[in-house]
Amino acid sequence: MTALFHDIRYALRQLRKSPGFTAIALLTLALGIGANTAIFSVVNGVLLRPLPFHDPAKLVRVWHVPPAKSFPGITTFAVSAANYLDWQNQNHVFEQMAIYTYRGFTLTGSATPEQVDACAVSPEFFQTLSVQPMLGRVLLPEENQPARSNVVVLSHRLWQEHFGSNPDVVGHDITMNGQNFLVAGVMPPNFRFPDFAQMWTPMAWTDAQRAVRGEHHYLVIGRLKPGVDVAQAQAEMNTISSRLEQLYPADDKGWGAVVIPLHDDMVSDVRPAMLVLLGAVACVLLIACVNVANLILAKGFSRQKEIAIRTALGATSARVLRQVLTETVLLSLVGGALGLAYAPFGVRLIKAFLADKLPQSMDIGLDLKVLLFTAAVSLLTGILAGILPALRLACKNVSQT
Amino acid sequence: MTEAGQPLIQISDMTKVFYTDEIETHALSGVHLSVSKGEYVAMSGPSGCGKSTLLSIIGLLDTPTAGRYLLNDKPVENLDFGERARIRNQEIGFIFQSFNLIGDLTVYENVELPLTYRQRMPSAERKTRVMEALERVGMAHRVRHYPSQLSGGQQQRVAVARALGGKPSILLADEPTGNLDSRNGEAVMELLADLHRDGATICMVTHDPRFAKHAQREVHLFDGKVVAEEELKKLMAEVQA
Repeated sequence: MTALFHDIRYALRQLRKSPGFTAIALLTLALGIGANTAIFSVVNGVLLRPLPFHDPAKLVRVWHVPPAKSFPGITTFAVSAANYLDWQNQNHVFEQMAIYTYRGFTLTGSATPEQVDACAVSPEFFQTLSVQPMLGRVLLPEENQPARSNVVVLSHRLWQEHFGSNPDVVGHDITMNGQNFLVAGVMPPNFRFPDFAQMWTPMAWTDAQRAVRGEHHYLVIGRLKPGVDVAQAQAEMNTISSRLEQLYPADDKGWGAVVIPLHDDMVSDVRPAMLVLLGAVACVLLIACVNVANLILAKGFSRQKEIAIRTALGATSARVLRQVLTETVLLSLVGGALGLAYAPFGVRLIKAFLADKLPQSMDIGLDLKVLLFTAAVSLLTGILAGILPALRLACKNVSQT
Repeated sequence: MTEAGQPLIQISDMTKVFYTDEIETHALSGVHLSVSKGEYVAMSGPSGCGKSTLLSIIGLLDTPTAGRYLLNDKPVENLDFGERARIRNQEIGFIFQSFNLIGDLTVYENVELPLTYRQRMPSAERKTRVMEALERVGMAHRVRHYPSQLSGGQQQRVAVARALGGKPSILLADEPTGNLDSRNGEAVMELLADLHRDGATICMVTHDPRFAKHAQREVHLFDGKVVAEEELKKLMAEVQA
């Protein structure tokens, strides 16, 4: 431990002694590690972190699979109302199933009317996702009928931006499309599903709408029953789809269903881009490592005599190796800390760059996992950048003394 | 520890050949040498005679091409790199011509450096040894100074303290006065003489006959061989003629 302390003290002295070298090496490492931290923050938030819902592994998306002949190359398709109701009634694998779609409103009552993106949802929607409102309540089953459907639940953002975070808005009416809607509740800030939703309102199909089988406008989510996995659910949906094909050949011939974990479905568009970016910044870091290794090698020429003296006095190769690596690891850890400082700007840049592809419901930012990743990458970078110069110095001839 | 008078270094039939391209240089040719505990030996001879090569091999900084080398009765000529480093650290104290202090370490840290390579030495003992060694050479008041802030003579005294701190079996000095003026050179030679009087075993390489006279015994080298003083004079005369 004392020896390590000596090495760290000496390394700090060496770095202070060569401010130009230290600044260039730190900048190079900070850029490389910071870029990796930024990308990993997004990868972590989007691909690795579970969805911000209770027991997210149980949540799935159910799509129609259209007939290949009519829709070549398309593997997933929106769902029709009647088929959804049959799925819901006939399955034994889902604890809950819910359906939703986009619905636009014009919100009036303030100085300027505002276009609002609402999400019309079936009564099971909030229960399926297992979310609770921050204020008031969610939509009631009895509100899922046209006569009683003028009810909304506000998103936290709309509540903040349009209603000034006024809690009294709950229980009062707002005016949309010239009609009054009761504000039933406000959702918590971390609930942003689906991405577009500024508010939620009952689906409230009419009987005619419920019977439509050939028009596909809706998205379906489900929560698997305990002990049921995706493969079992898929098998069940295949059975139901075959049955519906036979019962309603005019509308359902060739139409199947596919069950996909909700998280996978939400990130399927962005996953390739994320992985390419991660690979690209890993290459950037590798280049940074090579550059720093070259700088250390160049600096090492002026240190050959010092290392020879140390070796003559009894330092083993391992000891010299450790001393040189201490310097590079110290550099990379400081570089990592600097990289961490600018990573949030990188995250913002990536979010802006991939704004239309990143799911809004996912929290992207620095967390413990990102910090650990940065620490591990910094450590590895220090070892990678230092190992070759360290080996070269450690194997030098002691007769130079 | 070896008792005074017992052989500490026993070298027999040692050769060292350097190969560069197609040229063979025989730096040492069948050297026999024995140094006893408590002895002060000076190795002298003309430039290129092999005295520094011999000192490097004695100090385990280099390996012989052939021959036998016993240090404290243990054969050391074929040890691996790590084992040689351990013996250098524990048994041998080096004093170099150009001091070889590390410029980025203080006087204290320079003297402490070889002790930090000993894994099991408590820091309190290390501190005691460093301060004792620095007091021994009269440099305890400069612990926080860097080598660049010291004169040549002071730097060499720090180097001697560094060699003493490890309480080695033998001190090896390679032209210890080579970079010093005559006054500082004499002071360092006095210091080595003091250490010898206190029981240290010293092997010193010098080409200066004045300083060689400080030693108990002089070993003369010529063309990689140990020769008697009279023979050296004869050979030198032949070369000059």
